Amino acid sequence: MAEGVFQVAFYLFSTLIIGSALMMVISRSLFYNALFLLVVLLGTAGIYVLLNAEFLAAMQIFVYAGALTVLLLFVIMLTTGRFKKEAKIFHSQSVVGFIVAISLLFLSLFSLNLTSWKIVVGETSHTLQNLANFLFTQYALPFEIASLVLLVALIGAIWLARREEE
Amino acid sequence: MNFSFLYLMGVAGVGIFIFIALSVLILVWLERKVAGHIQSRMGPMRVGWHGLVQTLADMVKLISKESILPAKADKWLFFLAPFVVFIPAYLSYMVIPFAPKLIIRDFNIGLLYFLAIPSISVVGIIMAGWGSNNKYALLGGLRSAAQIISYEIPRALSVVGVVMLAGSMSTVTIVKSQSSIWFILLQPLGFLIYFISTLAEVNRIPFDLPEAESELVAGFHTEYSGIKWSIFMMSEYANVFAGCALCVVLFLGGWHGFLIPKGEPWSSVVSLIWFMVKTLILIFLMMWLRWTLPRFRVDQLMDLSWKVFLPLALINIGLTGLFILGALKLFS
Amino acid sequence: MEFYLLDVLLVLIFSGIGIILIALIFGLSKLISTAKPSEVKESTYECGNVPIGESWIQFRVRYYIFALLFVILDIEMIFLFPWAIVFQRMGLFALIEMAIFVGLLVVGLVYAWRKGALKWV
Repeated sequence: MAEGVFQVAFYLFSTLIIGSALMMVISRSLFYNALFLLVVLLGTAGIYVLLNAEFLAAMQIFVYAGALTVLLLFVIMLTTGRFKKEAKIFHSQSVVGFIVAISLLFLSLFSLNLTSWKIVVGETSHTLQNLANFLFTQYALPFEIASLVLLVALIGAIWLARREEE
Repeated sequence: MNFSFLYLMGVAGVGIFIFIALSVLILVWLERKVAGHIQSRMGPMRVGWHGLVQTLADMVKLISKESILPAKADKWLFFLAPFVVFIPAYLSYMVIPFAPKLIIRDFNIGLLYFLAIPSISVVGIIMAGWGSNNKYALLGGLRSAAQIISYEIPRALSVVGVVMLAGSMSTVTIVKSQSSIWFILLQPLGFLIYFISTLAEVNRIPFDLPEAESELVAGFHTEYSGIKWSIFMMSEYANVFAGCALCVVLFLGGWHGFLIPKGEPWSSVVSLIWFMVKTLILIFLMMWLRWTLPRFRVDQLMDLSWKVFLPLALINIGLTGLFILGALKLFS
Repeated sequence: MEFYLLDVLLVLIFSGIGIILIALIFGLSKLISTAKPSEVKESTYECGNVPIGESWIQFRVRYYIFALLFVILDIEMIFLFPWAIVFQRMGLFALIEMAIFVGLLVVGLVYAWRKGALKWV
């Protein structure tokens, strides 16, 4: 029973993600694109929960569905007034875009194929505690470096935005 | 995991919905009464005892009113926005523990879930503002979004201290760990930041800039009328209740209180009453503030969040850490 | 496994119930409400004035800066939650670790403050 429900939920989320991703590409209004992206991100959060990664799912909703989508919507609202253009599906850069997209797809398929996936058997509950234990002991250095990366991003963002304003 | 369980959950879902609808009816009535009496008026008096069923009559009116679709509006965004605003508010009720065992689902990361969900309704607000194709609505939506995201950070930071004390993000565990001492005594600063940020998140005075009547008519829902408008109102009051309920869970001991009999069948009823009374007191405080304080300016609002609350919340976390270390040293 | 499957299932069920109930109320309203659309009624509301120009105007960059700051601080904040859970077990080491992490970001915040990025006007 549980296995069946799992399958149903997985396929539901997958369809949702792929469908909205397609709609995001096809839809011509920038605003709708961002909203479809939101659905994609929420669906991904669902997949994370199915994989027992509840904290990752919460992070996905917090950072991507919440913050990033709002940022995108702000950017769209900031720019459409100035440019008043609808997104075109085909234009001069289509060929380049197509080639890049296809090569990215093959690259990811290739690397998926090459990776030897380990199957974890046993205790998978309390993932958050385990994650925290690892993050703050074994991976303490990458964690601190993440802060540095964020700092650089922050300063860069302010510098760019200030230049834009002037 | 069988169908009777799903059936039960369906009933619970409808039950929560009815609870929200009822609590909104009562809160709107209470708001009008509080407003009236603070201004030396009576408030609604005509329909029912002291106007108790006035909001019910209003609801019937709102349902039967025409729902206008502005010609210039984006039809889909305009239609979907009330859903995107309401559903997150509704979903946040899943992790509120009203009494021992009276909770839909005790998520492992319940608190994080509660804090993450409202960020989706921000998108709904922007949808409403953009979809209306109205200058007031767009400005209101944008302001609302900027305000909510600005206060989301101090709000989330202010509860980190509670998580440190309880050692868990499950709302039930947090309440249980307050059986001897309420966290407001250990986290007064956290409580203050949380409560004021919640005020800002639900767009209430003194933080009601997104719908400042004198400049923006009604903010992001300027073009909305009839039933669609009332869904926005409903989500607003649902958010007020949920925000205050979580405040009780985090800082005011949740269902704990005095005079709760042990092991009796009605002891959880007494707990529920305690929880409701505490929540209502906080809601009353919010209403009181609404009719006492003037509105902030945008720059003051932003300054308060980024220059006052953010540093204070970080300091609070550091102090809590030192406090816990000291306590551990002392009792080990 | 059951545990998390249930979690996600519940959120799905509840979202479904919420959408259906709201749709039902909308349907009911559609049934009993009157609808007499007219050109004036459907025009954009601007306190009676005829709207001038587009309403999708350009906004200040300010909003964008705050959204950017929000994204970055959101990521920082999310790290605090797992840390808070294990804090009591790890003690002083965890506190120092997080002090460095937050301290670096505070430097960024001070930079933002000094550069006037936190100023609204």
